[in-house]
Amino acid sequence: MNVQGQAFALVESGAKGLRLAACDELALSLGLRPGQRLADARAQVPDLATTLHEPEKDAAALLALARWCERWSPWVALHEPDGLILDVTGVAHLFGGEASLLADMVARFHHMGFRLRLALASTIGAAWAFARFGNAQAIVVAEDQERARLGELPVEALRLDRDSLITLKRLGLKTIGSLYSIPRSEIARRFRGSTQISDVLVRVDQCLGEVEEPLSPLTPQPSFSVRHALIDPLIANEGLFSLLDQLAGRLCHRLEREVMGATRIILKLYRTDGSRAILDVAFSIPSNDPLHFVRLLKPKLETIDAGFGIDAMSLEAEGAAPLDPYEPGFLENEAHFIHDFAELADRIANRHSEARIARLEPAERHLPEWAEKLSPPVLTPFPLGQLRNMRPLTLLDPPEKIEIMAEVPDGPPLRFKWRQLSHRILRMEGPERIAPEWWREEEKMRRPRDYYIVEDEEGRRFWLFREGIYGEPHSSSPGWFIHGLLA
Amino acid sequence: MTKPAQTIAAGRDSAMPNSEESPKALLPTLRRRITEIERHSPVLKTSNEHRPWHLGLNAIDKHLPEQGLSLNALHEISAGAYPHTPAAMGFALCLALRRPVRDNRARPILWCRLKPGNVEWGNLYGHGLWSLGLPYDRLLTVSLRRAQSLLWAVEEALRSKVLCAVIAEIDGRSMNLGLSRRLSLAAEAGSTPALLIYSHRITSATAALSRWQVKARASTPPPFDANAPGAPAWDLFLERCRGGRPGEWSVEWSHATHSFSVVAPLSRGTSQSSPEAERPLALERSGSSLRLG
Repeated sequence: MNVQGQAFALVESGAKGLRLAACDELALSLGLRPGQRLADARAQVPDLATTLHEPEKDAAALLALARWCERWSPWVALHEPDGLILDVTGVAHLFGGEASLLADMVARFHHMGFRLRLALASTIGAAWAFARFGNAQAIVVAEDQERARLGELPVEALRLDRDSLITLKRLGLKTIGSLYSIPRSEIARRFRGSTQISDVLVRVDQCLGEVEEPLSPLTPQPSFSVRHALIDPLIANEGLFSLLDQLAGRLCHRLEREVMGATRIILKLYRTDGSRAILDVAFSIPSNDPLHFVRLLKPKLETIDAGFGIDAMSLEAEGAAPLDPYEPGFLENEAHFIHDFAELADRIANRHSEARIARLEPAERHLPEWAEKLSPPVLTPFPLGQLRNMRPLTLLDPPEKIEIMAEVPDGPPLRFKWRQLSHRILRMEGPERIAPEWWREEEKMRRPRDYYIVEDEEGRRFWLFREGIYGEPHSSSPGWFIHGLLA
Repeated sequence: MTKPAQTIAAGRDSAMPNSEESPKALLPTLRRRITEIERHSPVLKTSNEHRPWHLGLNAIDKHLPEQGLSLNALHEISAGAYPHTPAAMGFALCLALRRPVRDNRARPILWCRLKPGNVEWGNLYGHGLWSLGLPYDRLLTVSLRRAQSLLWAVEEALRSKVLCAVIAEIDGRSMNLGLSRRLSLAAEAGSTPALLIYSHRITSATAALSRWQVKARASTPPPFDANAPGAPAWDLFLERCRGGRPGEWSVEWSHATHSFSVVAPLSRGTSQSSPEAERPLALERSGSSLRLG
């Protein structure tokens, strides 16, 4: 803002001295440009008023503005350094249409003293392009006209990096429309980039909506939250617990009305000195039982330092999902059993964050170490399938190298040495050939494995394998490993 | 004299000994009294549903109190020697599989381990447990870092009443009477048995109802291949059992029928046979029967 008709500019210190970071209208009209050296600028405009540019304050102000913009839509994201993007799907009708929504925004920002350019389009890329390179302050682009109007914009509107832009200009492609007529394979060949800002094709597709570009909002909105503010701050535990009971009851009532359960709940405590404490608890299956909430939150609440007092508490449910539907014909005690089981799993998981409570789920992979994965502790049954071959009780991760002694190199082994102990093999079953999955890229280089179940002189049973085949050209001799122990 | 007083006393409370009896005659009455107390003890009651937890072999079951293991109690299974821990783990699983089903619902088994156990013996492998007869949707595993957290988790799981059994791998050297009493109270409260697996043999007294030592042994080869290992086989030693007698047996487990069968000592490993017979190739190549053996 200029004061008494003075031109005003922000100055930042660069590698070669002080430069102008930004100029106001008057300065621009007098011929100053951002990036100019301060000495040159002062020569041109002697009474230029300047202040140091503080980018962190700019960022903080932008963030505050973004949070304020949540009055229109909860989906707000920042586009550094000077842009905001809002997802207003389904919001426009609340403000009387898209055009009046934009007019409302312009009016309010103007009232706060900001100048802005707005555009409303159907993708993030298109909105960005029209806002910065469009020809009006507030543009609403109808869906059917988008492609055509985008074509008129220059290629700088594609959010590309400098090198790609220079190359495009050199090839004579000045507008986005000129890219439409070039076959996609040509563009891909010439401009394939490893990051989004260097990949022309991806950027064009994002503008036109062919490729998804999701918006990650600043504060994902919890759909269920309750809050309670107190007149006098609380310090004692009993007061906090009773407030927690109340909040849990209210939240669960709202969840129940929608037949939903929460998978994560967050308790925020606001202290009188302006600080906040946050506690959270996660569930394995969606739950809306207030006793369950309280039982898991109480131990954590006990450890909170109330400081000078807590004068507001809010409880939010994140990840609300429909409650698990019960199978038809479910008995009453089965329902309780599922709940009790979920509570046990939650209690263990929430008390010890390093606890991994999980089920073992089979996966259709060849290699034994991939044939199983950990999955959440829910009680749905798995289809079992046939028991194919004997497998070990435990699997070593990773398989450990062993030394084999055999009579002839490619004959069956007689002894093996594992962890400095030698074992004599009395019995052996095998080989079971497990081949790599040739249809997967990363598996092609793997060698096939021959698995053996062996029993040593004490009766202990092991699962060994040989990786690779003897006599194969161009490869080193096969290695022997132990992969698991049998009971 | 004393006789009429004795009969009156017998009518009121048959177990109360008369202080005027000689010490020798006191013994049988005292023994009777102790058995009565033990029989009414909640710990020795095998089950509320009157279905005992057999091992399925008369030779073993007759050593156990009331032919079976107590359900709401703690049982310890230690490896006969440290490297035989997988055998102890397998035996614990098989015992859990034999636990009688409640309410027609096969409840899940919780297996608690410490993270170093995963490095030492490997992670539990669901396909392997299925080879022993446990469908993988019945098993849940918990991996924790500290022994104290493990004990807490075991206690919580026992009290929750939702599990078939809780199996935990604990360092036996840190187990004492106090800790084991706490776990056994939890087992009683939750009507769930706890099977603790120790890698080291322990000698201290604990509140467990039975203590087993398990070692792997050579298995009986299957009929189709004389050189292949057969079904899992173990040497069991019941070291202590409250209300029962110790004993030693060799058993093997069938995953299909979930049952143990006795392995005759004569079928012990082919350690005496010549090396040639151990190589499968030798048998195939030999044309005449004279070359076998």
